[in-house]
Amino acid sequence: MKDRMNQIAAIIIPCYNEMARLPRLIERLELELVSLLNDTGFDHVSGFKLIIVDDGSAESVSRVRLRTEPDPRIRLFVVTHPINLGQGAAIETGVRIGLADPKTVYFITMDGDGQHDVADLRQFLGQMASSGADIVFGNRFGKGVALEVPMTRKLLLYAALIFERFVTGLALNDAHNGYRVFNRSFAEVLRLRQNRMAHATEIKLIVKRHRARYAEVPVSIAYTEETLRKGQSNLGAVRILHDLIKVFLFSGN
Amino acid sequence: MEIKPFTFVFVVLLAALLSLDAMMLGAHARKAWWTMFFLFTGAGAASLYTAPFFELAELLGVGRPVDLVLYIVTVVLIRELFLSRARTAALERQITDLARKDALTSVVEIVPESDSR
Repeated sequence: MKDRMNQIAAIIIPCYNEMARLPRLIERLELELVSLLNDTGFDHVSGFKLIIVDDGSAESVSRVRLRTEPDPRIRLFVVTHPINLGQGAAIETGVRIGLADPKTVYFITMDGDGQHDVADLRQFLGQMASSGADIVFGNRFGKGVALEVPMTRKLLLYAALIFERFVTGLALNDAHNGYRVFNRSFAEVLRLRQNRMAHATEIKLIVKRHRARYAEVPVSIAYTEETLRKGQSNLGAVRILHDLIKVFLFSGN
Repeated sequence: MEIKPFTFVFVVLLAALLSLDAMMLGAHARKAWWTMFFLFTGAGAASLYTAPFFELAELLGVGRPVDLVLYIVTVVLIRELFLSRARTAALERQITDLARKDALTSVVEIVPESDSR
């Protein structure tokens, strides 16, 4: 049996101008993580390291806090990019911080705007442990969503999915979902070169290149009017297709 | 030699553009400016004495001299587009590495303040 006492999971949260939503996310995360760690049936890790990557936000995220009497099994770190580089670059920075600690066995990425359900963490880690996968992807189309994704965006995401399947050969159902978990072996070969949204495709190319084992779990996405406005516009979805071509030609992965 | 109105306007516009470039580029790019000047002047002169160019085009199996120019320019532009993208990607990687190096030296663990009551 593995020594769970010395294994932790790093939760990497890239943020850009998310101070309106980040404190609430940290609060919900902390409650969920404490619940997991106190659950005798949960034995995947013995602690969590939250890594907030501030990607050049106008307002510093250093004001975020855990509870006044926090659980010592949960630690909070903040790292700040001096300029805005993109979500892919932020994830790469977070992964490198996680790798610096030899106890980190799992790496979880989630968006900083709170649209990912923290309750899905249990099934992510459960899937990792039971399937032996190196990486587990979240699939927003496997469950209902809180608000309907606009049809035009659905069509563009579907087109992006088809192109990704053609390029990567992976049978996944969600082209661009920032909610995923991977193990240390995969983190050690992950070297993201795409700074912005195209990193999601680049990760899949790395999976293909290294023949990593992968799985998919349904996740909930809580769209709000605010996140829909802030999220990718339809033009942004077209940009995803453009970035896919860029990854295909220039990523080196 | 008949000078058509379009030719006159075209030459005037080109001269204006070259003058603007001379002001914008500055002394450090003077050679580049002179190269552009001679290229455009040479092209203008060639348009007045076209016979040798038609012979060249026929020799190469291209329909007209202007088609040959179009083929060359198209290849050069497409190549420049891809090379430019590759150079930009390399520059972006350098900037990213530099910014990340700076960020990784200042990772902060947020420790909550103890209750002082």
